[in-house]
Amino acid sequence: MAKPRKLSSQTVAVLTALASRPTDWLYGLELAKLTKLKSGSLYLILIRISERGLLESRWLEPSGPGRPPRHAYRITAAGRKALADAASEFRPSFRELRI
Amino acid sequence: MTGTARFLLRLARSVAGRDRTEWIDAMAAEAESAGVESTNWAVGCFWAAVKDRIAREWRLAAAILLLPVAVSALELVLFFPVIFLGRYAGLPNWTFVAVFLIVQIPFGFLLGRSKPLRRALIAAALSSLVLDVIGVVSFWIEFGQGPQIWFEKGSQVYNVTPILGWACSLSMWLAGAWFGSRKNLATPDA
Repeated sequence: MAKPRKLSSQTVAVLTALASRPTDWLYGLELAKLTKLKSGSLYLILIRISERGLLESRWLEPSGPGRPPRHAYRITAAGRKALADAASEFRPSFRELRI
Repeated sequence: MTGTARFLLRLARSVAGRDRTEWIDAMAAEAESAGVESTNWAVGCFWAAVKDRIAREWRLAAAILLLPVAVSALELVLFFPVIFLGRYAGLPNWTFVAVFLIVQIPFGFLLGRSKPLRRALIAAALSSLVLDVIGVVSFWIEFGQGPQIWFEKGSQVYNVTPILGWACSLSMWLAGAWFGSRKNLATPDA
């Protein structure tokens, strides 16, 4: 079986932001604010992790008249698992740091 | 949303291609909500579209960059033999220029052979641009003359004004790509 690709720290940041509010649908602007990523990096990550099934997306109704519908994102079970795996990979290096 | 943001998102849409329509719509919707930050947001979105397209089509991106390098190397190899042969045979100056222009056609042909016409023409135009940049940069390194020299009176590319010379080079790449696309192996533009 192919080994799952390692997540970059920026991808982990996006997944962490999504996992911090697992039931909410978050917009791109909110994610950019939470992760401090610029749109140039954020959307590349969103596209990649969406293709890997780590997040789900949907169009939400506009908040007011004259506003366009917005694309929103939520972490999936696979995303939570990938985040947990990434965290367990980081743990040994934290231990080494403490020594 | 600012006019600049709208323009950048239109560019991003054409760079990203049809596969990414939903994502560009998503970026545009956020730009609409970003207020005064919409231009910065759109710059990032355009950059994301470029990086995503390069990542998806890295072979084509590599070809766009490497084929002009190959043309430059070939022109370097051909330079002295062509000059000596021309002098020996008493050929006029324009024949040298013609040789250096014609050698670009097969490289455009290669692009046309592997991509549908519209994409091959865009790739050929980009390769032609890369070749021009290689020429400008190598002249800069070799003779210490910056890019401004190409806009001064008397400068020549392929024995004509730089703009006309670059246009001639571009037409060779486009012609090659067009010929190549007639023998195309790829599916037509979607």
